[in-house]
Amino acid sequence: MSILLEHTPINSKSRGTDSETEVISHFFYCINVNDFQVAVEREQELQSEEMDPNRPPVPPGAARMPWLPPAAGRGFMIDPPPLGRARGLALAAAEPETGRGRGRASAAASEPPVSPFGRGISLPVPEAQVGIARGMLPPVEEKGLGRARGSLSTSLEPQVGMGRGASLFMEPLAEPVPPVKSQMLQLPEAVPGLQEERVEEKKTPEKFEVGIARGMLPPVEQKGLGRARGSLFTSLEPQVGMGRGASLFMEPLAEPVPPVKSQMLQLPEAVPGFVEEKKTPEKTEVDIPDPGSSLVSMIRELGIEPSKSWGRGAAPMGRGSVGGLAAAHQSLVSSVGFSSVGAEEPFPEGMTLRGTSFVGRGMVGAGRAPVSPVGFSRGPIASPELPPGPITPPPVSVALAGPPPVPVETTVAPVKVEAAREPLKKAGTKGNSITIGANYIPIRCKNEAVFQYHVTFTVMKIVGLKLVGRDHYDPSNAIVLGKHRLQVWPGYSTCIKETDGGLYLGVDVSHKVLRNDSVLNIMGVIYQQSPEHFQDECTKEFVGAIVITRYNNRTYRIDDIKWSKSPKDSFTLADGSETTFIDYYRKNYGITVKEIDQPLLVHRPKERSKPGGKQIITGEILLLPELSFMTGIPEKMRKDFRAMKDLTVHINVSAEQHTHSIKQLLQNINSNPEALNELQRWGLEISPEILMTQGRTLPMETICLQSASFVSSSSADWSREVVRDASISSIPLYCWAVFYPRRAAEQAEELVTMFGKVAGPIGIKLERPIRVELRDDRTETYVKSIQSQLTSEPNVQLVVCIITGNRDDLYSAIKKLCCVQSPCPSQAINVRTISQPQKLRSIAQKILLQMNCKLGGELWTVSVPLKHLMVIGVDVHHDVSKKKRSVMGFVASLNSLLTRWYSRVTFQMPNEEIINGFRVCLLAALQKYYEMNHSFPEKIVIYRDGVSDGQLKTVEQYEIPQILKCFETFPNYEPKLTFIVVQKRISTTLYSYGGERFGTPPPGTVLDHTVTNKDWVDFFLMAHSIRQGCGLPTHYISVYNTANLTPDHLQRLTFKMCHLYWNWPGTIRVPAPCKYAHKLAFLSGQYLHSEPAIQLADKLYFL
Amino acid sequence: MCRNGSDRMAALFSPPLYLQRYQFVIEYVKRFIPRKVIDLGCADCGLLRKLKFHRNAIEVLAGVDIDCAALRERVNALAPLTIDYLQPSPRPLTIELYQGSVTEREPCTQGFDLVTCMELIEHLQLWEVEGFSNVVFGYMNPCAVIISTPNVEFNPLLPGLRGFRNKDHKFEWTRAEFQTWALGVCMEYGYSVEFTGVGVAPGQNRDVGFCTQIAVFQRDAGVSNGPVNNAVQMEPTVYRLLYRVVYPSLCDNNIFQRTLVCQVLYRAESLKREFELGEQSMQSDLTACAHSLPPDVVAGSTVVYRHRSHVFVPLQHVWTDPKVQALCGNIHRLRQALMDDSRVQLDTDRDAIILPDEGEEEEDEEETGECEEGNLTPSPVVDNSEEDWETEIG
Repeated sequence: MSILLEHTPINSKSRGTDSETEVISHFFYCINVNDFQVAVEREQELQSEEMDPNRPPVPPGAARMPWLPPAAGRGFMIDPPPLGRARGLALAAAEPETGRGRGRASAAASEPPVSPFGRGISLPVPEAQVGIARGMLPPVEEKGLGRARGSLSTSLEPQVGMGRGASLFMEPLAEPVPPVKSQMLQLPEAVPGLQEERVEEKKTPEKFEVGIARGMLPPVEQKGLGRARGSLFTSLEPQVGMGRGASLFMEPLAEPVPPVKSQMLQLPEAVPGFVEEKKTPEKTEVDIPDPGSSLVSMIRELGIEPSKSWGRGAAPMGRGSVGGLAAAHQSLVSSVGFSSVGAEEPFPEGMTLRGTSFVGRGMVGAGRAPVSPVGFSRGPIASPELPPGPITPPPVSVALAGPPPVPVETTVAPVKVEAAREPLKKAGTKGNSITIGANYIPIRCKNEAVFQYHVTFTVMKIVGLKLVGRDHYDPSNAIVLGKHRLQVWPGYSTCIKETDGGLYLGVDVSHKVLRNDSVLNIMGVIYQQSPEHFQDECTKEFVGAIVITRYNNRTYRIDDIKWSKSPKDSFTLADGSETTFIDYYRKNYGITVKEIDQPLLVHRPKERSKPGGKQIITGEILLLPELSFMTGIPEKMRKDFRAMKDLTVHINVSAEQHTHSIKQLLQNINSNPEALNELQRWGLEISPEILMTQGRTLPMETICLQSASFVSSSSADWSREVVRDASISSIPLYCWAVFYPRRAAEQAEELVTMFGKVAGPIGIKLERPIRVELRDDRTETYVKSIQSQLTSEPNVQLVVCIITGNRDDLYSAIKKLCCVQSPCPSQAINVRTISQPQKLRSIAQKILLQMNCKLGGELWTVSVPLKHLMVIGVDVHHDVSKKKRSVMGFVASLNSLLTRWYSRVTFQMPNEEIINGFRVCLLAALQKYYEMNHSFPEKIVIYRDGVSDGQLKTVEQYEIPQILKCFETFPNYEPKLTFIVVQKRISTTLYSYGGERFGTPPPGTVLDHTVTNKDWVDFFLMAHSIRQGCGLPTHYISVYNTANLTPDHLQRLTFKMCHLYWNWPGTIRVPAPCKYAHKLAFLSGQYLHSEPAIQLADKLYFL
Repeated sequence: MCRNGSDRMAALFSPPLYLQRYQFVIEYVKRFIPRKVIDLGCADCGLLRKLKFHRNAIEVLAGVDIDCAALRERVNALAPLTIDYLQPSPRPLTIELYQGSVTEREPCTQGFDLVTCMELIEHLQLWEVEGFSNVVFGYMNPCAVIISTPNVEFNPLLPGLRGFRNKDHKFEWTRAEFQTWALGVCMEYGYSVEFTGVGVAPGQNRDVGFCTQIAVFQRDAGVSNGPVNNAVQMEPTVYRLLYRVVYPSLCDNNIFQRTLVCQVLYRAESLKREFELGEQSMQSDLTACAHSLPPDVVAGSTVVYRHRSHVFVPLQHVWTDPKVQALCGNIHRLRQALMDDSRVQLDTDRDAIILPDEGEEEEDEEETGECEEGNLTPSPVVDNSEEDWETEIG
């Protein structure tokens, strides 16, 4: 998909003159990026009725001619899944430069096979992909000339392209897999023919096979116009091409299937048949003696057609046109069905699992070939490579434009679907089946290609919701929290998702917090509270905040405050005239600015061009504090537990409420005639019910303490057990110091006493601490006392500070001192936490466990049946104000129990690649592992948090090769690597369903189909137990997996890792190393602002 | 309102002529403060959008156009903004859009204070103009009417213009023609008229008049406005209602009550917090804690006080908040409003607001969010056979 995404904008630019086309290609854009933002922008941009849903999906006649070619593109769009996949990978592996590179890459492939195959077995997969990709790529990437050519080759003889892919791919395989080799022998004509032809283009075809090869050849090598023509000519033996294509990829698999030949014989008949059909749709039977010549003439005439039309792939006719091939299809389809089935059989033995899945994909691509004849039939129209220009379509095309018969669709569809689903093996089997629901609403779309995001937005507006930022809210049901001067608007965030299961409307219940105060009001309050630090406090409060303006509904992120500016200053309007802010708002919005001495807020938009690339938004946007209203939860409130409780009561909705809200929305939509009408105009149907499907709950894990072990309870909580039995290992505390201000002396004493009582069962040896009473609770007092204590007593193992109030500065100072300057594990305890005698016991137990971790103790583990394993967690912390650097936390396991962790932090400048720091961390961790185990880990599993869908490709293409390279630092070291991306912030919600009620699924619920990503092996896992709110699973995507972990392994390993976060005796949402990395990155970025001391690296000091 | 000619005129006028026409109406509204305004031929609702911001005292804003698509195009821009919900206006506002012809009589269009009709009449056939006059002046009979139309005498100054300014124009009048018609209308329906315009000709060509000529009609005194029922929202019988939105305003009792209660509670809470802070500092200063004063001492008092587990905030104190004052004219009204509101608890004398004293009851722990006590139900139902993934991987 990403290719499409990358290239459609270019296409649209190249065809800028044709506004219809441009719009269409934007649809592509929308379809392919599962990105709300884009959609919103589209919606805003396209609000005017540029796109007319009433436009007939099938162009009615000559007048609509420019609309015809889409069919070709459409044919391509119909089944993007296998296609997109194959393409993407091919690119990844073989030609990172994408588009332009294509010519070169395919040329290389077509030369005597040495160079491509020289890479040997290690790259069989990429090679195969190249073959396939080649077949499909051109239409997507190249515009104008090259593009047309590409389209020609694909559309004319897709099977050849395919076939070649298959054979190409067979060759490397032939070496390791003898049986395949023998199959190869059955193809002697085919493959040599291919290769020969690659070299000798002009050679007259002697056999059909050769002919085909030739047909395929020209597009590979030729670039010029005339050449391309040549290719067209070659394809004049389309039947041959077809037959050949089919046979080519049939044969290897066809061993047991004799009818191949007969199919070839069928094809020639079929093809002219459908060519004819295209030409004169009204005739059912046509007798054409020389289909070739008719094609020639057709092509020639069409040669004048502007090549632009190609990219209209979005045209809605695809399916229908497939149907047009009735006759041709029937025969093809059968063979295809076979091939895709067959594909599964011969290969797996010899290949890795991953390989197999690729094979599957490859074959799917091939299997799809029969569909391409659609492209074929239409293709000629689009193909010619004459320079783009406004040339009137020739009349011939009119005949071609006839609406294709639809009925065959059903026969084609099942084959396609099956083929598309097969490739990625992501389904696990372990655990018990459970019925779950998800916040996905199936959408039925009559013409998928023109599906547009903005429709849903229009519909949301129709049912009375307001767009705030990116989501829609319902102000009439606002919850007003007068006490806190804010309102909570319930609403929905929606997005369109194209997943393994099809097209869905993802609906999440969302809440917008809006404040009743303008920024100026809040500034006033801040000024009253601290006039001396007014500007600093304002910066802290506002920079990074999102405001909504009083005169429109737009939201802006505040990036800066301009104290030197005021509303009296003037700025330049679009027409060049100067006006002051005061005048501007008075004139345009009738707003009288009351405070003329306020500073101005600065918003710096991301540099980007508006869709269409016409206008680039740059520069600063200045806003008046008086006219800007804050959104989001106030920082102060966030820290106020009680206030947050008032808020979370409304925001944390249960599964029951969640589903109710979604159903309410669906009901509102489906009972609103206007909304339904709007949907219908676009051929859309939104299901009235949410998606219900089957998931699994993974088996419970056994938690192992030092000697005790127990099976985790169904609520995944073992807080009782960990304080009853001894931890795996405990560090005796001989020398430790407690610092407390005088007024907390009593609590400190009680805490220390309690420590003594509870330490025994946990297995911790505890001496009396050095007690340091501070004369006041100023930050300097703490810092000085700790410092002098650490100098006078260098053996201090642990510093415990009892602090009063929520004081970030004090916390930061203590942590800086103990993590950076004088490395020593430290524990800060808020006096309020230990002020309640009835809770003190359990608090003390928790703190003691936490202290043990910080000292290097080990609490519990679960068994992971993999040897020589290293698990790594990575997370990145971004500073909200974006001024500071990002921080990457890196945590790696050091032993087989997964109880010793090595941690590192790297700071990176904005725009700096994360991988640079990662390398350093990884090497250090490997070295440390070697020190401890006297060997390197054989398998490395990396959990990487914070990678969005759009960045997956980057990770695969850039980060992973770098990681692999990293291993080369050590001689003869080639560990297996599994790289799993962890996504927490997803809008997916899962519900359990039983007794007619929705609830939260139990810990360990996994869903690995239907809602999963079409392009990757991925799954949703809900590891944690939910006590309030909804079941928010975490999304895991296996981006790289040479460790060959099966889906079951991936899922269970991940679930196991979710058990190992020692700050919480239960399962958590993400794998423990990720959580550790997060904690570490947060501490370093938020409080330390520098790398912690290396001496602490093998302890969990950051807990 | 037609902007098609604006390309040609853009070079001549700055700001563009259509904006000058809008501005003219805005200025008029500012001066005469109409409450109900209807724009005939409102097209993309440009004027309505402007008036929404420059509403002064406008309470009903209506638009009529015959072209449904044009009306729909920007209809969302008339919807209330987020801020309209956050800070409800003290005055009500309803915006309505109708599809219909200005030559038809629609009861909903009666009783308006101002009818604007910018660049509309020239799109009617000449023979329709009389019917139009009859509907607007005779039937709708508003207090004031603003009608604008192109001044054909100005056309020679427009570069490259042949014929009318827009191909949909059925006629374009000279100043004399326009004035003759207008004066005729005044005679017939009892109005007086003033002529003006926007778009001054450059240089010495001033004698051609304004580019757009405007007639402002005032209904003669003594002719009463017909029966007006503002309260009831009528459904149109001839026109088609395309859009109606009622803006949140303090005139809506629920919204008023909600806004007032929020403001009162916020004020009371901050007074309570001040009081608590005072208590704390007292406690820490004199370690002997100053317990709450006995209730009999403070009954009817004007200071915040604590009784049992509640904090009492006198209304008198809350009343000092200017925003509360702005909402209720006097303290009696405030008391009245709070009396029957379940969100506010008043003491028996209705002199103070009672707030619960939450004290230090609940505390979060170090690990918020993750740390919570859960019930433990061990269920050892697991297959615990020895696994070895290594062999599975192969």
